[in-house]
Amino acid sequence: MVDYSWNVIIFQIIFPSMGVTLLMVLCATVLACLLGFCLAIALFWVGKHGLSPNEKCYATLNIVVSFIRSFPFIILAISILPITRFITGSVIGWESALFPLTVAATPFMGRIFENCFKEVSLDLIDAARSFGATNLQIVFKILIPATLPSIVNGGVLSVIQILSLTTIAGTLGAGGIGASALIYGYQSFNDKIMYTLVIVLFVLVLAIQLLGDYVYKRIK
Amino acid sequence: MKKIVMLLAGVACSMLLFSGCSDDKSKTSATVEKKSITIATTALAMPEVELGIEDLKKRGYEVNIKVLQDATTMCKAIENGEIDVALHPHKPWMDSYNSGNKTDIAMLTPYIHKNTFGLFSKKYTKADEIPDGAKIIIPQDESNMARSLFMMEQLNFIKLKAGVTSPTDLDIESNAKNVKIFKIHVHQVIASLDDADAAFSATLFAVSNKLDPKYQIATSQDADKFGVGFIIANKNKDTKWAKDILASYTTEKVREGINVIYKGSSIPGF
Repeated sequence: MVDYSWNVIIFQIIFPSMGVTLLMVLCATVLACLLGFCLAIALFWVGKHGLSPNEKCYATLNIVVSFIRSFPFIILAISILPITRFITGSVIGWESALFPLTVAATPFMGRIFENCFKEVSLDLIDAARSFGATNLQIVFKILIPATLPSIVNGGVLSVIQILSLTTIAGTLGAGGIGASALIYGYQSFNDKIMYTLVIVLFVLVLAIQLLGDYVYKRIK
Repeated sequence: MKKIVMLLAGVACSMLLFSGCSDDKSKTSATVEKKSITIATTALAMPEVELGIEDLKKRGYEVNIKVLQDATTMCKAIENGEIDVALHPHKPWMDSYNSGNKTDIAMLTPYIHKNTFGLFSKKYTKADEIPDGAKIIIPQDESNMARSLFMMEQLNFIKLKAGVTSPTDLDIESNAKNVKIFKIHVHQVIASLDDADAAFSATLFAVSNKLDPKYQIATSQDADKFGVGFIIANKNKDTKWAKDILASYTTEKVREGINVIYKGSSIPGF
């Protein structure tokens, strides 16, 4: 075990990995939010009490979502390596880690957003339909505005989930705070670095949560 | 408040009780002759451990095998007395674990096997051909990272700070070839080889990934330092059963078995 000075810990470990972590979380969140949102709309659309119920479609989507969610992240990341290489041209580096992160986070977000949509009163949808609203109008004029606060809440949950996934993405050479905590802390038996980085992660989680709560209050 | 105090008192009492229990156990095990041995290893080294079981049984022991995930778990289990010995970590790893955690787990000698280590590349056939600015993958755990860095220094890619016994990439003093280092989980290094110019890895992982041996372009000269032996609680290292384990695992049968199982990625250590 090497005892690194705070100078080294802050400038050579925390700063560079913080940048990578923030980039990974930001990009993966944007991608997973967009895709998860579409997935949630699709799930709600063909769901039992949805806009255009289709049992077979829903069952298929449902199985796919649950299938991906059942993979432990590290195994998911390893089993889709060839696809990652095909899409990003490499399997190492944080840009390549975005693909497995997005694949893992999308069904998670999709499920959370779907649950938000399910809370909308069916009477409200029926009423809108009786006024002649199309399905798309129902989604954008009723479903989304009515559930925006819970969508924000669910989003915060997902962002923190993605943050914890980035630790494992470090296995693929992505770097980041979590990976540094593992490499320089856990695997090097250096408690000082390990717990310092856990505190850094804690501050990050806290910041995400506070920001989410603030947005929630503003739109509610 | 009262409840919390009661709860804490309860926890403290039960801890006392349990610690009393384990003390009793260790006393009895020291006096009564040991009849059953629990060996831990990884799924990968399982065939190697199986080589000696029969002989150990002939010596009158009941043998239990536990397959565990990693060396840290094995060390914790040894500290708790849940297993007797484990075969997996190598000596430098064990030393750094002991110094990092202030424990004194011993490694029995002679070693059972030694891990060979090398430089792999699909793009170049000699280490000298690797160009400036090359992308190089190294394993991210302490001992394999250290071994990679020492080998990189040997190959004149980098220079390490003087006197560091277990360096990480933060201890690189100068990077003559300006290589870009990617730290990847030890199991994923070979799988990522296509995306880099070269990778350092234990030969073991090249064999388990079915990598053609021709891609190993340099071999580390330090196999003797990286012996893998049975690890054991320090107080048990001189017991009769520990000696019996060693006797059962330093036979010709085990030597031949190791050569067959590991195909040269690990060589017999005795």
